[in-house]
Amino acid sequence: MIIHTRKPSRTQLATLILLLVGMAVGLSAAENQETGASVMEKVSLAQKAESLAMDIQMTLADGKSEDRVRRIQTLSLTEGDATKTITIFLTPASVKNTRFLTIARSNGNDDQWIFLPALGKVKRIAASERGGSFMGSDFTYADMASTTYATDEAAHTLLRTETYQGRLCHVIESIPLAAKDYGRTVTWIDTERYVVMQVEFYQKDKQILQKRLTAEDVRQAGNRWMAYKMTMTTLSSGHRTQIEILQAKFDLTLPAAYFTVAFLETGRI
Amino acid sequence: MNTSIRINLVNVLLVFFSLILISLAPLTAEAGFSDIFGSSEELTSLSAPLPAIALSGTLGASLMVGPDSADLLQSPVAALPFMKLTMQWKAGQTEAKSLLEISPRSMEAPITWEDLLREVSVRQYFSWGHLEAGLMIREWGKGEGVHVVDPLNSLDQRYGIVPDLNAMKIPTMMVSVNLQREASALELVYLPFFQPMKLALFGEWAVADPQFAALITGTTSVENTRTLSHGQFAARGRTTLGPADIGLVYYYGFQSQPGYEIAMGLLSLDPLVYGPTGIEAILYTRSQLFGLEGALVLGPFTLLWEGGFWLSEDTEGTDATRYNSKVAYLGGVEYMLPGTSVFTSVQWSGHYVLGFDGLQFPDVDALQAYDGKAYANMLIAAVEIPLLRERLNIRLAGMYQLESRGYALLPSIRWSLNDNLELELSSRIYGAAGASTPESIYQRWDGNDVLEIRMTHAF
Repeated sequence: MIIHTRKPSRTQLATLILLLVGMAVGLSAAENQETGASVMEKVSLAQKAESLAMDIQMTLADGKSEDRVRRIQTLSLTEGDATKTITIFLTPASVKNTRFLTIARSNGNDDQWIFLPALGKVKRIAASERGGSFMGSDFTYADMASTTYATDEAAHTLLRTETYQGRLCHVIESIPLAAKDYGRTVTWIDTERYVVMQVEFYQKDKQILQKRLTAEDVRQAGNRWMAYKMTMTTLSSGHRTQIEILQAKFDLTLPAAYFTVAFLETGRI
Repeated sequence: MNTSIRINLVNVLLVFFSLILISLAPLTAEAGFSDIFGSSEELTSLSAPLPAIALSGTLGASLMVGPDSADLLQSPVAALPFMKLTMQWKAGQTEAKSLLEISPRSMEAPITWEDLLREVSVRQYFSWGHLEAGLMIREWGKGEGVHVVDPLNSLDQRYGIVPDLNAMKIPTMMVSVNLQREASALELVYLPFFQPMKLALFGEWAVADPQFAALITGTTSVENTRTLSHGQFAARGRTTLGPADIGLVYYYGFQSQPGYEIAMGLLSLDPLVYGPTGIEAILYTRSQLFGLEGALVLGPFTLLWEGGFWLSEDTEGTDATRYNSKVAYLGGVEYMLPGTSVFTSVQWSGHYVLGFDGLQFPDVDALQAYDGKAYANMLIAAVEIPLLRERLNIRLAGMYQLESRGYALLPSIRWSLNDNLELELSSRIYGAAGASTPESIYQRWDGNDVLEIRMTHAF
């Protein structure tokens, strides 16, 4: 209502899924004569899934006050050039049962709706701004854009290969071809599992490190390697956000009825 | 108003429902895709069954001060607890829901059961949609809170304007059938009787001149709207066309504001002093509403619109006791500032009464019009600024009546102490930009400014 304008988030949730998968998943591969682009291409291949279901817990911590916990469940289905994502907020109580439906198309004509349980009403909303914070966390839509692995969206350079957290990793520098919120990113990728182990986000001047994303608890899920915990830290404030993947299921059969405004309104298929 | 009685009633109800909460607490659970992930409790206890009852709501305390500029220490204070309790039952394809609300606003006398029970409904799902019946509040239209095609619930204006405009709606008994197919939906609603709007005729929130209100006496007859002849029907169809959501609305019922049958006569022995001597009847105007609604996304902007034509039973505009036909409109835009989560919304709403020329008191259209104008327009704006990673939310909202220059400002600051506990400082400020003549409603409420501190726990 006019006056009750708060939305839990307007973030493009489909992209969150891509980020999480991109950060978390890798496939075993032999190490050949790699380039920055080829490594990123292999990581990108590892992201591909026709459908995906994730149960996620996000913990926000500033080291001073009580941690804040957000819990979301999300389903994603790719059909043709459209990726449909439905997300339910489970906690905190103030946003519980808020539901998002996003239809992201390759041509950029995205659709997004939100169901606000307090109003019992579905609202159509504009696609979110890239710089906006996701639920008050250290993750933004811009973060997701700057960690893109598509070879045609950034110039990727293999800087070196080194051991990180006991694993041999490629270190890739990525400089976006179009202007983004960050000047460059540096990514550590497991040479065997193709799991992203760490990302550094630099400001537009390409010099000052702004945020760091680290991955932990790497385990195999089926034929995929996956980091079940990721922590994003904003270095200037020390504020950090940990994402814990409680459950992840790939390529499962999801009814199309989940990805409709009717489900958004009723929570039923 | 007997404060001690009110507080005792609140205490009893709070204890009663606290006991219910405690007894049912093990049954509460989170929602979600339980068919895919299982019950969320399974993560900690694999044997936990899917719950049948879910409880949620808020409770807290409110301190309201009406500042006395002459002597602040003499400012009247109201300190009351409040609670909203939602209980939902789910069994197969059937759902039931009740919403109990006890708030400082609704504890003002006289209390009606609609003030406490905001929803009691049951819903049955079918392959084609769902059937729903009960006491409900439903919102139609694409506008933010303010609508011109939202006829199902009348407003309770006995306590002025509150920030949550939806909270001003009066729950109403209705039966609805919802047919859904892909991106389209059709809703058919029957309301067995008519619930008119509630107005304050006397006291601090009076909307009418005291001299006019005094004409309503014990001999004034009031139309009984709880009869079968006051049944209403409404339909709303919606669909998605590319970047736009559009809908059509039809309503066969009544205009929610009361009409008056005013007796005119000599007010003194002077034959020139002629005026109203009494109100013989309060009655309601049967009307039909033909409306449309829409929302269109253009880049970072969301454009909103509503339009409605109220076709009155007084088609010629000759019946002084019934409202004329009118056109109502609303347009707005929402926008989120780039690189931030700052959300802004601006809306313009108004109406134009048809056949208004030549109307004069005691015609109800002339009575309701401001300064003899057939039209009235209002600007509504809101800005919400989340700070400190959404721990602090600043909201500035207001309404401005273009013709009367009356305004209502509704600023607030919310501080999240933790995920479920919130402290809010808010205010309601009424007045007019300059001395408007005649006096606008907001100017009449100029002395009703309120400052409120509220602590809320959500569960």
